[in-house]
Amino acid sequence: MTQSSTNNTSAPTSRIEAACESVVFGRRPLVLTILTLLLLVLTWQGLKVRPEASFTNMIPGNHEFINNYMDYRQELADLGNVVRIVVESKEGDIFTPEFQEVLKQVTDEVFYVPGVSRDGLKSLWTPNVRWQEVTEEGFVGGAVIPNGYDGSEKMVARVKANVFKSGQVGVLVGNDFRSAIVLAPLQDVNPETGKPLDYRELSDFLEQNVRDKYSSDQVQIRIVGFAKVIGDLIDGAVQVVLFFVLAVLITFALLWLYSRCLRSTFTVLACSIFAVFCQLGVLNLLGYGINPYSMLVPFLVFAIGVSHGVQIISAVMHNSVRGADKVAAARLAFRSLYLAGITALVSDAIGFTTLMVIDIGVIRELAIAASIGVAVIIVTNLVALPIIASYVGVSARGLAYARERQDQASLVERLFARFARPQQAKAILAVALILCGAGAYYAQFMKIGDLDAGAPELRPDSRYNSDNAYLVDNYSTSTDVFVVMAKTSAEQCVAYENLVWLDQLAAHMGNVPGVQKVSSVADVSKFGNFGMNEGSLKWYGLNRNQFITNASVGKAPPGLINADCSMAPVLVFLNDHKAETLERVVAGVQAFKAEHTPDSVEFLLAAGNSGIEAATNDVIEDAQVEMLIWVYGVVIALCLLTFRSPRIVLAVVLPLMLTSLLGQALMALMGIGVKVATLPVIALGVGIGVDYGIYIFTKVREALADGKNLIESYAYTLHQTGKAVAFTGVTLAIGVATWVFSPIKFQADMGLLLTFMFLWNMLGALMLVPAIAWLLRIDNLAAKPAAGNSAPAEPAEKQINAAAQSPRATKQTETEPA
Amino acid sequence: MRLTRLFVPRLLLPALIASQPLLASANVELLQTPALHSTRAAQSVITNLHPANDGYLLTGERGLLLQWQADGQWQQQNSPVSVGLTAVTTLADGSAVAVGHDAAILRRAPQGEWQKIFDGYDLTRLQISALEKRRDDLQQTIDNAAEDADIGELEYQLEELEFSLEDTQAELETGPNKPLLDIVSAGGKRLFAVGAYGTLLCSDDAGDNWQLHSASVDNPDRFHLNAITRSDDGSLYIVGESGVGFVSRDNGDSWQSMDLPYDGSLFGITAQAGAPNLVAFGLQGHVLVSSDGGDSWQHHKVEAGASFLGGTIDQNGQVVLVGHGGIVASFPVAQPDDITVRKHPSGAAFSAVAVDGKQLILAGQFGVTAWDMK
Repeated sequence: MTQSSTNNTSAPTSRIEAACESVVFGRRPLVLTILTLLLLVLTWQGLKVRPEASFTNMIPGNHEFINNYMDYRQELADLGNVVRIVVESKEGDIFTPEFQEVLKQVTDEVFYVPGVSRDGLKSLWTPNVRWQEVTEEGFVGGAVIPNGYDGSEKMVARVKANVFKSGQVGVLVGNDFRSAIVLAPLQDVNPETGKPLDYRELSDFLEQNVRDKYSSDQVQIRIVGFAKVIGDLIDGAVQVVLFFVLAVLITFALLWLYSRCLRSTFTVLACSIFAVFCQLGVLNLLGYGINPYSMLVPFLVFAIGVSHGVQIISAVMHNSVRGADKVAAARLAFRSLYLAGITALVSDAIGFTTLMVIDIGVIRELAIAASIGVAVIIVTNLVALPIIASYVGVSARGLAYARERQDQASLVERLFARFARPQQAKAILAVALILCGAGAYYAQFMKIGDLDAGAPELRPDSRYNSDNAYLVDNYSTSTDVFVVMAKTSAEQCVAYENLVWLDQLAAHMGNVPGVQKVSSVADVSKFGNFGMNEGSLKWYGLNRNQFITNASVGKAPPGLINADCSMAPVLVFLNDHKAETLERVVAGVQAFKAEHTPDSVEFLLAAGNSGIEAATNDVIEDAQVEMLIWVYGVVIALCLLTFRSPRIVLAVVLPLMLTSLLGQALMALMGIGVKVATLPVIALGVGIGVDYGIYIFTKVREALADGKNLIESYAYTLHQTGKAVAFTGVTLAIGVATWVFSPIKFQADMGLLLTFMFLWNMLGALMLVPAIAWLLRIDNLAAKPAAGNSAPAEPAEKQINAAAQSPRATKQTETEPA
Repeated sequence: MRLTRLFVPRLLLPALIASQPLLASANVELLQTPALHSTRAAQSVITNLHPANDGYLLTGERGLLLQWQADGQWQQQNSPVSVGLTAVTTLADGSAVAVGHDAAILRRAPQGEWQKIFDGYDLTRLQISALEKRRDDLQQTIDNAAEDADIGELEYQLEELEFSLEDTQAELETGPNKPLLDIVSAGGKRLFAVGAYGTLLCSDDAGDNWQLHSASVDNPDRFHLNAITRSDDGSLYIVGESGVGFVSRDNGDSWQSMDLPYDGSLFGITAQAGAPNLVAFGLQGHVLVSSDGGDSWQHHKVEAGASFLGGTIDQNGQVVLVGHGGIVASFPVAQPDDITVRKHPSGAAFSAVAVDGKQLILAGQFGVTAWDMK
């Protein structure tokens, strides 16, 4: 059969293939016009895609913690979604008329920022910030800025005295009195437009109208809050567009070096860039935006597109060298590659799809975006590209270069052919074993979750994180808050017995290592009793008399009880948001719940940034194993289907596993945790990495079937496909390597890990695959594929045959025109 | 239909009744809940300190009893209650007695563990029997009154007493809520505890039994009695809300009102060892000084204006007062105008202070700390 198909190569081997080819090449102008129109429409859509960063998409939507949080999201909003604008005096303290004037202006400015809840706005200059003290007559108090403030020294001295009595030191005024805060709670909906708050707009507004406007030699402005993180994330993500341009330029250079043909280079680049725009267009049509995580996908799509484009272009050049005309060269290239290409792309797509098992919106969006991207590449680079090539052809210079090179052993061949020899195979296997041991050792130190302080999405030295560090250092506020929601029946949240439970939980949680402070409305009540009894500390505590208790919480800040008093959050302030800390806190609450079963109050986990992170970590920890099982399951199934040999599957999959293990070790060594951003990387690495093994073994088997021994077969393989494999690895790596410079920490982490995995998968395929093949005596299989071919009904066999035909097909064409 | 109508109420009623005690049992009674040991006990809210075992015995929120040494070492002691504790004292035999919220009184025998010996339920019962006795006495007075006597006022008082009695009886159900605020050892086995709403308790057997002595001070408005102290000559002093002050020269058998030149609240009073000097202090920086054992008082006001919650006089007659906003004021007892006011950087409200060599031991809102006097 092999023989017969070899003789028949100039004609397509099956009806379906013939149909495909005649559709594509039969009416080239029509197909090209339709494709062009389609691609233009999609590109136009793609240009409209909006950067977005939705909070709900970054969290596991079905986790118990998140469900509980979502039930009270509105009520907890007061608590969490605030922007703190720190106005810092660079010289001296805040008690100068000049500083107070700036603070007043910033307060007024922030008051008019769209989306700021004006009732809740707080600064020394808002009337809701008061001082109070206990006198013989009871409580007396007033606004911190006295009536008739005129900026005189006397008035400033009064402000200073009031600040001390206001209890705002460490809250609105820095512990060192060198800065003051304007605290702006945000509304979810912009009241002017009725639309959800646009964080990017808000962030830009704050930058322009506050930071840029009021920063001076005397004053520094710092802005901290979730909205700012999101704004910075989107800004950072947009900068990534520059990296895309960089990736395109580098790829251009490499393509040109590879082909020495400007026409081919431009064709491949154009098709791949088109693929990116179309992918964005489909996303936009489906109603998705592009978030900082799925921003990776265009880079991948571009790189995958280029790597497949390169295969087509080399085939076209190869055919042209053999003397085929433009159309015949392109047609033969299409025939020889589209099945192998589709197989590889489909396996990529399935690899990406396994990410759907993870219950986190952004990861699912990434999976969808990547699958769409891969589907688009089939159209742009497997169909459109050969048609374009059939018009454009190859430049004379490119042809000359290809002719000159065709009989020389490439660098790849010279470097890697040796690994099929027993001596080198043993050596590389030994090295792999050592790496495997080292990888397994370091991989156990891999951590779940985010490891750095501040906003982990951004770089530790970013402006946001330095602003945040300033806040943490100079104010008595931790930015890592874990919230337990205490649910009671309506109007009962401050009942004495419920406050007792809150206080007991607080005392219990205070003993959990990593917990800084716990506070709830119970503390307000205790403090209120202290205040109401003329400030006698001995009265600090809860009071069984409900009338007294109700009075004691009269001044409870918003957010510590909800509107109908059926829920009171217990705020657990943490030292950090490391996974161990979060796990301890969750375990602490669970232990308390196991020990006590109050029937008037139910403690629900969890809200606050740390509660949500705990839920995310939980999901990720489970998903990590689940996803590996899925992705390897799919890869192994695909390889088995293609090769029908467990030994070949082992030879393909073992190098991938080593890469995964080394990737984990790298994460442990670089202090990169497993998180929403890095979890998909392993699946992406494996899904794309398997292509190399498939390409290599297709050729190896072909040569073995021809009766060559392993060493010869591998040499043949490298001559045929080695350069393309190496080139693909490098292109993919370059596509994502630019990410290392992203201002967004997790993008940099993703870039680093993917670069590592793409390169290492490529090296593993070139060095380990032949060595394992030697170890498993795969050359003994030589007889079997012939036997397999006796059952031509098997679709997988067809694919292999088709792939196996391709080189011979090109050889045959050489003779045909001659 | 009929069946359900018939059965539902009958079946539900016992269930509802039965569920009441269950509800109660699932709640926490802080008077019965042993205090949780805390890894940060020394940073809790501390209300009082008392010298003991070369260090200090501290009381605080959530039933805290803490032995603290000046080098910062500390050990939390097992406490049988989780209500806030407000003061502690030691007896000559080495046992210690502490008081707190909901009128809890705890005692620790030498080398023993802390045990609760009294609480607000006991106090309520004492108050009920006292009220009943007053009511019966009053009833008798009215019954025995001459026919022409004007008993309108007495009947009004009787009515008031009945109301008080009802309120107090209701408290047996709802639970106690009045804290005891200070305790003093009056020599031998005699102890006095003072508290909210004019509560004055006395024990003559080191705490085994307590008698209600509230009526023996002239405090008709039931102002809080905030502090009690004993001078070397055996006199006992009580100060409280709205400038009330009482002195006893017969070890608490009888009490006389002191005429204090200030009518705001006084939170503490301290006596100098071996001298007749006394300092009382309270709201808004008001300080009263007596150099004649409480017969006469001079009023001073510290300009900073912060309330003083705790104070002490060392052997040299140096007074140290602490209070809100981290205020630490000191002056020689003989020259109250020669005052130095400093602020502790924590800004905490301090409730108690002790002089330990060259250090001040400060206890309060954010725990206990040693502070160099310099």
